[in-house]
Amino acid sequence: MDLVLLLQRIFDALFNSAIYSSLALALVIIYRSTGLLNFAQGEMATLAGYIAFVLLAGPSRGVYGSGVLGLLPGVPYPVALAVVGAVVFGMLSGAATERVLIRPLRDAPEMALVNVTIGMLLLINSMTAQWWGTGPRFFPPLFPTGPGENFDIFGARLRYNTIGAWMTLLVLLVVLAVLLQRTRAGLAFRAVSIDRTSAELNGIRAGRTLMYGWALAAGLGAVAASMSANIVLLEPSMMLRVLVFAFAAATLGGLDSPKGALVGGVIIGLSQTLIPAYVPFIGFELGVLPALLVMVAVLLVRPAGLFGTRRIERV
Amino acid sequence: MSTPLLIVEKGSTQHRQTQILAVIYGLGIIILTPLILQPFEIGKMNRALVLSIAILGVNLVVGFNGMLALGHSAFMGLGAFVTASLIQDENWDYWHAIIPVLIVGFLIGLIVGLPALRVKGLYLALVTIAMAAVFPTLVNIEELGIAARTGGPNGKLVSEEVEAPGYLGWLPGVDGPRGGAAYRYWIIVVMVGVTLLLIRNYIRSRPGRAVIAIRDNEAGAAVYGVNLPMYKTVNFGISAALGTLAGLMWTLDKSFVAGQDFTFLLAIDFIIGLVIGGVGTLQGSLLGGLFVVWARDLTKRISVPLGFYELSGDGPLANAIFGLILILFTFFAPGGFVSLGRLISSKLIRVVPLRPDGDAIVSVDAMDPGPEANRAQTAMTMSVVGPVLMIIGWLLMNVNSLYVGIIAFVLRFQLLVLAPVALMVGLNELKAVAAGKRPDSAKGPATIAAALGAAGMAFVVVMFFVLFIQNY
Repeated sequence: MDLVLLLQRIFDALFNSAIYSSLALALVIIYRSTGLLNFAQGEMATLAGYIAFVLLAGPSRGVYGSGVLGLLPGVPYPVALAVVGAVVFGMLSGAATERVLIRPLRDAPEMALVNVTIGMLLLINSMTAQWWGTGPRFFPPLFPTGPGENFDIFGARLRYNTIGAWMTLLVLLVVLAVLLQRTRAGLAFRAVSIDRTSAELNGIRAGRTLMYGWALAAGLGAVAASMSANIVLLEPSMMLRVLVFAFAAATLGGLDSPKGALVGGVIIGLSQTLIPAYVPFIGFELGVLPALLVMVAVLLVRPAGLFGTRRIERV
Repeated sequence: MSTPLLIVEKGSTQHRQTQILAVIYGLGIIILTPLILQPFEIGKMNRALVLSIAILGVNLVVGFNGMLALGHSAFMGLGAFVTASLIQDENWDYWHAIIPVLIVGFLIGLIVGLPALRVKGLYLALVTIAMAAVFPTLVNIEELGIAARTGGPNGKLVSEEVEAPGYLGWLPGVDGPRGGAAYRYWIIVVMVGVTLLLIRNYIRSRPGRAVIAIRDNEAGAAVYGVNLPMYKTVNFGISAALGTLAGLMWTLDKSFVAGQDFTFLLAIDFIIGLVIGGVGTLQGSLLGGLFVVWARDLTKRISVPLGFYELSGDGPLANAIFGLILILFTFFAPGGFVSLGRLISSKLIRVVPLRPDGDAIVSVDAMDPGPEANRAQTAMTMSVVGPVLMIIGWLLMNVNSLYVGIIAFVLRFQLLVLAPVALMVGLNELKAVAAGKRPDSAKGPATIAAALGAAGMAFVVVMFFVLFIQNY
């Protein structure tokens, strides 16, 4: 086995892993707080990606640099600013979603919430397609991706892009950990996740707390979309595929564990690239399949996922 | 109208009459469909019926077992490809293909369901969504001879023609310009009917009740000795088999199968049809299939000029409308069309259940509203309003507009409900007057209601035969 090639493949897979991990993290935040799989997570992220695109290139068919940020003279890093704008938009839209669509259904069955997120998936997906067209759009890279812009490690190339994605993800994780563990709002969020009724009896405003959670998740999604928009090209369904992998990653790691989301993302990303490379009859086109089989295999052995809490029910 | 207009004992003559009426209406619609509609509209009808079987499959899991399943597009695709391959490559017959298709669906359902159904929660949703995501790419791979069987990205054409044998030429619509589509329509109608009957029996049987018990209270069901993983898995297997059966019907109807027809969006369509038809009801699956197909057809024709920008439904917008409808139904009519229908019929008729010894639990006479009741007046109003609205609807048909067209459609068909109700209430009130429960002044309105109601019914019957004879 060619070790350099293996290392190269691992490095290549790590970029996807970062994307899957961040979207899986967003799913975990929502699942922990609201107990819901957010099927619209990917589309909300795509929309935020388009907002970044608009900030850079104008509302519809403009050229890169002619957007809002292009009008501001002397902005050194317009891409970074556009991403910040997208994240802010994402957080606002996440909060609004919770307030308008999720909170009124707090006593409704699980199915109702799922339906709402599926409805949002369709709505956002087709509205972006309607407005920006279904064709892919060029989105500038957040980190250098050109030839030679990489580290050489034992002859394999580790791109700055991959490192940048992981740095971003890790910084976000630290911020998230600080928010959850060291602030009052984070304490409230954890309390609501564990037992909503008890938290409310202790004077925590559960609805508002959940709104913060949705904002955080949507913000993470916006980051994921902005990071991957350069690689997969910005188009209305770009995050739908990513979402399937993120679901797999979150399930694999345990739906309620942020650590699990991170590890799950890495495992799914690696198996998506490595298994087709070394198992002869699985083509790269079918990279989806092994990743999902890994998920099913883990479910068979550990239903709660690698780091998830086992559900114990009192009758 | 706080109390319903008609109160009948279960199993009484009048109750029987309403049931018979519903059956006759159903048969009438089934018979007239292939006679009146254009061939492409019959095709849409076929597609709607095929989708209802798939939606029924989803319903078994989501509606009756309370688990979330999003992957039936893959089961349907599987069934479609297996059928196409058996018929095209192995020279099988459609009838013979049913058995292996059902078995394949059931087994794959067991395999997929077993890991996910052992645990509570959303895992089934995740596994099935993954399946739906993989399927369209899976059929394109060269390995294991899959692409050779499925036709790969080009899809697979089934060259065998489905033609009516001579002895079935008498079926409405078959012997004419609509021949092919109409014959497939009849095959699909029979298959849907048999399937609905079997699934109804399954739901009412011991395993069906166990499945529903799991939905309502999982722990409680376990305490009563229900083997949770087994019932859940077998139920999912049956549901998957329904999915593959729908796939077979798809192949039968279209004679062409391609991987991109069975994407995740189709699975979402099933969920939409399920919710809008009515979760956990058999009629809901049927209505859902009809809704998905015909609403897609209607949204395609929408175009809203916004001055500088033309919003056209013939594009991505259709899905946006579907998404919006799904959200609106979840908020305002979570029971779908079936619950809306029940809401309306609860205003019109109440069926009083019987005790095991055969008496009504509450005497029908005890629920009589007494001398002040204005049922006769209400019935008279209905008997007059019905025909008037129908004539308005008839006139509006000539307006060339999508929205007016829908309104005209509804206006014309309300007579089907209003006329029999007016007739029955009118006759009832006449009896009540004769028995001295109403003042004599109620006699006039009641007579008018009965007469106009009877006329309306006669009109419906005549219209049916006119349409039938004209087109048969």
